Amino acid sequence: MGVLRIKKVIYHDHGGAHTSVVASGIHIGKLNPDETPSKEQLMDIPFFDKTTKNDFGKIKYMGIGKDGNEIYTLGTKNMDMGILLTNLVNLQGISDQFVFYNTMPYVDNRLRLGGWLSRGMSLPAIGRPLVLSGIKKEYARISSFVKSICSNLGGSNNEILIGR
Amino acid sequence: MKYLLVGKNGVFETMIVAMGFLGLNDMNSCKEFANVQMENTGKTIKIGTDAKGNDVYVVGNKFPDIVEIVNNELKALSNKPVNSELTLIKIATQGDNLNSYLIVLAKIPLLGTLFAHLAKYLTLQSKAKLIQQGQNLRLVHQAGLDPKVNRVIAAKPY
Repeated sequence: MGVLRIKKVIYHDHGGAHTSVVASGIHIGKLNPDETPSKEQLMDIPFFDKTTKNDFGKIKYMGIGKDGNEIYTLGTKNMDMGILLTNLVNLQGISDQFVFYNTMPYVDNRLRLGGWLSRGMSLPAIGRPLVLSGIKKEYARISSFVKSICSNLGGSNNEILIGR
Repeated sequence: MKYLLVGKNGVFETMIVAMGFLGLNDMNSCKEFANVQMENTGKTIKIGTDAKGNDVYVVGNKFPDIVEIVNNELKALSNKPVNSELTLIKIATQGDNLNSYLIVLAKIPLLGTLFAHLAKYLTLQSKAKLIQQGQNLRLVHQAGLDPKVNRVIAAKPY
């Protein structure tokens, strides 16, 4: 029987308000991976379409996944900061504690425009419907991405080392 | 201890500042200098090791402030002591914004090489200043001074 260390799983995207939050919501079990969520369910997730410019770079705690890992979201203001994030934890000697997943591949043009209007231009009345429709369209892909992550992180080990 | 110098253009101005930090002056010591393909990839590049055995790295990112915030957040989240082995230094230099645009244009097929050469030329034009900036940074860090902290300077004794 192997030992599975609890990791800090960080989903990151440009703004840290949409795809990364939805992926985290699925990972912590707040959203059903097999059913496209309603507007109310999406708006109920912490930080969904609620971040500000001051939140860039801040790692936000979302909850604990069923696999026991801690789930976080991050807005990087970059298209893909995955390599830099990995290098930062390598240089600090803490790479064993973190895993990073970029959710930008699930951001389509509708979501990009909606996110920019809602968060960047502070026009949620126009941007939010686009964001919601974009998320609903991409939900199945985000869900299967999270499922594959969960199965990778879970592995075949069944003992969780709580003390880290 | 490791130093990571973060500037808008990692393989241009930031790299020369890092050379000054290490007391180097020979451009041949940085093979990746002006390599546009390496710019903004997120890969950290090791420039060398100082006399005290500290490794010096550079990386380019459009938003060095955000890299610093993320680094501090990761430090705070980790289960390691706060005094981690990585010191991140943000680098801001004269003309780095112009070079950022040139580097974006340098990725255009065919015409791009012109912009890449221009960015390299402009960086080398201010090489002496950048080296000096790196040397000043080294002095500040050797003395253990944090440039962000305001200090009251003692009056000259009679």
